[in-house]
Amino acid sequence: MRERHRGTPALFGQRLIQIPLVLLVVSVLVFWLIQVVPGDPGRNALGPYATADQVREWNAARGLDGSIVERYATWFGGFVTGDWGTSIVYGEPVLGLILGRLANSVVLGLFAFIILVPLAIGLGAFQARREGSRTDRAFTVGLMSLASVPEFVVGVLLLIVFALIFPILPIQSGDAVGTGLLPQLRAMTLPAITLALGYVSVLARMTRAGVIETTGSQYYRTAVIKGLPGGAIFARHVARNALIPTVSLLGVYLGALLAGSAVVETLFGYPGLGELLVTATQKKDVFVLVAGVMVTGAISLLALLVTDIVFTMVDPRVRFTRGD
Amino acid sequence: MPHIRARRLRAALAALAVGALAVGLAACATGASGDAAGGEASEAVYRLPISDPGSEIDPLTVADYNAQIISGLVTEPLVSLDAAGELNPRLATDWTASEDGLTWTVTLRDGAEFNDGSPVTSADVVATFEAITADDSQSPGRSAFDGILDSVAADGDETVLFTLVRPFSDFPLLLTGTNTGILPADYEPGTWLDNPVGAGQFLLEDYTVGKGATYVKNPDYWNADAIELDGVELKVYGDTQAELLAFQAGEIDRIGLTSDVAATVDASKYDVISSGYNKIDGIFLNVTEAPFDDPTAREALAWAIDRQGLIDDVYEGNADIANDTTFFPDYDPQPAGLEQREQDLDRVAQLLAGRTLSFTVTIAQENQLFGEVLQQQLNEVPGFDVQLEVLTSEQYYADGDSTPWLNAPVTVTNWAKRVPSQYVSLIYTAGAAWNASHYANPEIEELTSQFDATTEPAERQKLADDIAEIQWTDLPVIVPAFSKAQSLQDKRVQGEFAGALDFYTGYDFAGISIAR
Repeated sequence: MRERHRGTPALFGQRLIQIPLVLLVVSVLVFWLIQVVPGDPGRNALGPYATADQVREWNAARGLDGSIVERYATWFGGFVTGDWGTSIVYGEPVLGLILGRLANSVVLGLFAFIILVPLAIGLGAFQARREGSRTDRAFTVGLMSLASVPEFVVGVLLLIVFALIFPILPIQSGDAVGTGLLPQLRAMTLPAITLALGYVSVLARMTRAGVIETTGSQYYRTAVIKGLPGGAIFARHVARNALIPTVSLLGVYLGALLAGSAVVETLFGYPGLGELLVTATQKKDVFVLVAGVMVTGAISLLALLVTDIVFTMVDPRVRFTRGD
Repeated sequence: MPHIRARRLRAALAALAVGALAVGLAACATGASGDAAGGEASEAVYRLPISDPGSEIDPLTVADYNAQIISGLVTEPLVSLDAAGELNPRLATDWTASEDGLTWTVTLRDGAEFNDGSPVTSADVVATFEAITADDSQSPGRSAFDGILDSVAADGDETVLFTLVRPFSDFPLLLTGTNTGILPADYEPGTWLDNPVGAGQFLLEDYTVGKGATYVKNPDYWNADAIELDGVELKVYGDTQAELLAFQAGEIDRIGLTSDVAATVDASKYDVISSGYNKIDGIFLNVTEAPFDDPTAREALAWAIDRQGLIDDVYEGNADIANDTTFFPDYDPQPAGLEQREQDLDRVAQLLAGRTLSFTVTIAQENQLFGEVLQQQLNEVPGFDVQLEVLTSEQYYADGDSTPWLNAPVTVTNWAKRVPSQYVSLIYTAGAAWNASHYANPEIEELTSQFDATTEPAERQKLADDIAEIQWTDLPVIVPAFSKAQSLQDKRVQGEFAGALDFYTGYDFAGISIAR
């Protein structure tokens, strides 16, 4: 066991060096790309009836008039020292704005994850138990159809059914944020289900394949012949082996869920990071956008790292060596 | 047997879990709807949808509807307009021009207070207008006063003197415009959300970026008895589909009646409310470039448009036919003696004389429907070959000398309602910042200057006729329709809004109530 995990700290250290480098490149790209997108933040803020001079002054007052290199250097210096600047759109400190929205996205993402994991694994295991049956085929068709429907459509359909025809859940999820656990859970139900449904089919499919492969293995047959109880076989032999590919996917999905979904948050009016980044992109709020992308990037990369570490614990065959 | 028992146990557990979930959701739903019902029973709150304003909330610089309403519900202007276009006294009770028309004396309401308890004085009015019109002002409202307002001064605590650069008989109308809510003299720009000060009908209770804002009635408002609402709530929707569903589900009280909404909602379940004219969608023709440097080409285009078709297909019938002048139908005086342009294909053929006009109409995304209908109409007329270029707002209004909205051969830009002479100074005057047609005619500028300087009705009528005739004949801008705002409103709302539904001439909820 000790031998097996010997490479893990090295992997951890290596990733901790790689992650800031990746984020640095991302920040440069975002900073540069937002200049390419048409539009001017001053014009966006002051509208079409402001004069060109007013727009220039507005930009200058917010430090948007220097060269791109100069502006990036100023921003980067502030970012690494904890001064993430002020949103040029909202006039609020970027750090507080991002962290507040991130917290909302994390809560929603975790809720979606809690719905997703048992649902997908349960469906996958259920299908594997009935491999080749009509039920299995029906679920396969259903899940593949679901995978092909965009989140936006799923969300609108859920809203029509559960907020309009049977008005038990609200349209606007943002109203309930910060009003208490139950109202917030209720408001997050539809966006969380929409998010979860977006990932469930691939995850269930992968679980199904893993379970079928495991239950066809010799060690599974040996365990059955030995007369081990069903629960013990599933926990010790099937789940542990069948879920290895699923775990790697779960890590990626967790990172994506926690970082916020622009589509779902915008549709349900949920004040998360994804929705904030949509507005920041539209309004060229460069400081919010670049900081937000850094945060979402960091979350995704850290989720991948955690996935790799969990991998080593779940799969005895995985060993990391230098250079992995 | 043990297998059957285990299966039954599992089924029972599953049923229990589903039941618990259902009860839990139902409890949440009941609790929440109970709260909502309770809230509705005890509080009369008008709920409006907005988009994320995406800009700082400062009454002096807010530029779009969503940002303006957040501060506008709290601040109070000197005057506003009612739905018929008449001036409605707010913080000002009287306004008179000097004989030479160069000084306007505005008397302030006695007893009006800001929500911090301090009285509204002439010093506050002076400070507000100086902030709007200062050389370094970033207020979009400044453009309305450029070339008109020279200085503002207090004459005692209750009188303000506006000195003009040139006589301007419609000056009180400018006081109803953007960013003109009165703020205390010691107001620091950029600090409004820290201390949402104003003398308006409501107090800002909470504003959360991306979520919305809640307001309660200002008990110290000068006309508090007329405000029957307990409050107003603004809810942010990032998606039009969600906004529509929210309206259908009763989460908001009003939604703009667009073609999408009309196609989805059973309008008979709601009140259709409308107020006065709110904008024109002008077709700007660059008169310095072919093909529209030729007046006959401009005229042919004007006669080729099916204006009623545009009104039916773009405005859902909620607009009036215009005749290529900038005199809104509720403005006095109305120009007389011009033939009303309607689609006349014989005249088009005569003007084109066998030519084909090939050009591209450049528009911003929000005017896409207008552009598509226009393109379709024109391409059905012999002698027209029209392409459409749809740009994002950011591309269309991009800054720089080559910005599309001020340079493309044909553009469509919407202009909020203004007085006729303002349109002349902003879009018909040689060298004006927004003269997208690159048009120049000293005669219209001189006539407009005379029009602004006189209050004598017969003289104003004659000048209006002459100005309109030049607009109609020279055609740098085709004005096919005067648009009105129209919305669907929940039947629980009672009363009629005093002013425009989109509040561009002032926020006024007097007389609006909620059925208990």
